[in-house]
Amino acid sequence: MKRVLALVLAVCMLVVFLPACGSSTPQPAPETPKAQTAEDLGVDLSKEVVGGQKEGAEYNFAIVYGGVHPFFDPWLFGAQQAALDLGIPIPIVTSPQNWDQTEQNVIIDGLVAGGINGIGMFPSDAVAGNEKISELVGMGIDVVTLGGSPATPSDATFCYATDVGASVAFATQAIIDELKAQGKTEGKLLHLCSSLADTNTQKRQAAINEVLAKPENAGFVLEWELADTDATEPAEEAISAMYASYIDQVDGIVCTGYVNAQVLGKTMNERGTNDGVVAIGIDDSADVLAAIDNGYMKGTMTQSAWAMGYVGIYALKLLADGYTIKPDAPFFIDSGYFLLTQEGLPAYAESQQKMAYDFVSTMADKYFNPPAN
Amino acid sequence: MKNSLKKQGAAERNQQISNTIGILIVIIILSVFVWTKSSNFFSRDNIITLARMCSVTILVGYAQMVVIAGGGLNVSIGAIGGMSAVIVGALIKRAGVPWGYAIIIAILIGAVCGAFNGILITRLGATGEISWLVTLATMSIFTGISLTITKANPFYNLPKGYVWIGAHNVFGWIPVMIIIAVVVSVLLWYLFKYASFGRQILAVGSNQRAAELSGVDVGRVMIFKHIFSAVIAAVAGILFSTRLGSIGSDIGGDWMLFSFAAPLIGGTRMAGGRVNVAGAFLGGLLLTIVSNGVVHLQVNVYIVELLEGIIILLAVGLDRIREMREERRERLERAAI
Repeated sequence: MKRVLALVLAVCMLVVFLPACGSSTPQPAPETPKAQTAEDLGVDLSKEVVGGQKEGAEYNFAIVYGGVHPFFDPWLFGAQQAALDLGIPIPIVTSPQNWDQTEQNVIIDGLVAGGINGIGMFPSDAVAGNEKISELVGMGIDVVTLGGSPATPSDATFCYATDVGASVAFATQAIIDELKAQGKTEGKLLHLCSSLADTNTQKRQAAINEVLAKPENAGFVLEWELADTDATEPAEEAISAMYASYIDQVDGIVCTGYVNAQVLGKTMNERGTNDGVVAIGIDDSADVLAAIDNGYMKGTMTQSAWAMGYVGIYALKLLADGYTIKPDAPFFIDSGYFLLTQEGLPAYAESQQKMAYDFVSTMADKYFNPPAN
Repeated sequence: MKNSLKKQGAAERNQQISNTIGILIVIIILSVFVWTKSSNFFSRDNIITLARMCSVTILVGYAQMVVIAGGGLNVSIGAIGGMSAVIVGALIKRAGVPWGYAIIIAILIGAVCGAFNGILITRLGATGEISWLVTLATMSIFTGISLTITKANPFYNLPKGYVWIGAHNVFGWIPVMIIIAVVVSVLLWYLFKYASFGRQILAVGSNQRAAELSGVDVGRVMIFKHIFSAVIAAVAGILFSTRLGSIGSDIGGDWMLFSFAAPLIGGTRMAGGRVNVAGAFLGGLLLTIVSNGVVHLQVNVYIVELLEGIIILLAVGLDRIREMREERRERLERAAI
């Protein structure tokens, strides 16, 4: 009996494992945009003389995510496109399974042992990650941080990430403006947020309160916050309960977590109405984009995740070629954000790439000193 | 001797009934309290929401209960549930398999995962510590498989028939999800009440050595209880994904706490040998009401987790106090005999 079970088990495990192990590169998500060239998008990169491989320089780069999350998916394509544009080897793109600095460190150590000389990373932990960054820089490895900032001061060359506070402030003001346009002089807002311990959540809370404190926004208040809703089940549970309990009292919803925005979008699509609520999501999950397309969500605050990968590799190439960061360059460089609405949906993919091309078209001049020779 | 055994059986039944009634009272008190603060608590929408959410919690609790009943535990329940859902998504979206077949295949793969757990645990010594260690390791394997398949990208646009399971309400009020949970409840109740295999699980959980000496094939019981557990976990994961309308690799990620809490609140003995299916059902319902209630009560966001933890501890604590009283009464009765 046990032999039969063991045989069935072995066959079934093979069935599961083989397809999973068959491919070493991730399959593109269906919604991943086809990359356009800078020329296609009307960006002139000719002044940027960073293309091609410099004699003696090594371009063994890696991009390391903070943890497994769908937000990172376009990074891979951005990084690969940058490598193709620059004529350098395709970088390694990898991730720890959990948002755990120890796990990320193990991966980085492996990469370093494999001869990596430049890393673009989202630190899994802002403080502990900084320790690793210092260690890498001490070993002569260039480090740029992408998407999330390490604690400052940091030895990383710079941090290219979205100003999360400014982005959510923009969303909050857009909701209030829409409510005002509907003739409302007061309104109750709901904030769907991630973990309260996350420093980005704290920045977002502060930004929302700052917007609401403006005299012209008197009458609009942040009435509810549903925290820890950036995982599927807590989000589903909390949003379902909120709909059953007090949706009729809510005027506006601002989402600051990928998953809670996705679940809210799904709920709106399922109900076939926005229940009179002005909602703005975050990022670009399929449910959110569908809710915007259906007219249930006003829009979503999006950033160019594709640009993170592209800019990261571009910057590492500059550093490998001997460029140095200007002493007066800011450490934190805002990667930009925009409110994607129904009108912007058709050109969304191109706008993501255009943000990257626009940025790198002036990056060397603005932030770097050329090599001495 | 026969009379003594009969009395013991009756006392056990009484204890189960008392336990079930106790949880029911807690549920009623909590529900009325939330209702006084939020009149929408008993609205049609909220009852449907509660039924949908608790159906998953209940199944997750059952998946753990089956293992605990036979002595041991399984920390890979969430990983098996999540992986099964992901396999359904991959089969539907990447291989074009009809969703009905995809569900069956995923549940079968879930069963294989359970067998994998069971065989390893049996081979390594079949103790509580071994079951913890083995399932901790397999949790990592199964989560890794989910992540490898999805690359963290959820499967969207699932077939209408599949999503119908999570969205449809029979007679407009009764979610299909809760009907599935009730069907599983009845099957489990039958298993532990009347089926010899169910009694064997309890016998092994109560005293493994004694069960072995009385002719029970302990290894077989260990393997099959893990298969049952994995199948229930797979059903829970798939059911949750029908509700969500998409399948991500994070399904099952936070099942650990309530997989233990639901059966333990319901009167299942952690050391094994005793289960209460109705109690676990109510335990799952109670946990769902707590999570739902904090949203209705608009509890300050900073103390939600604290409050949830306290309520769960209180429920488990009250149950333990009641159990100790019952045990004391039984001891006194035995002494009198």
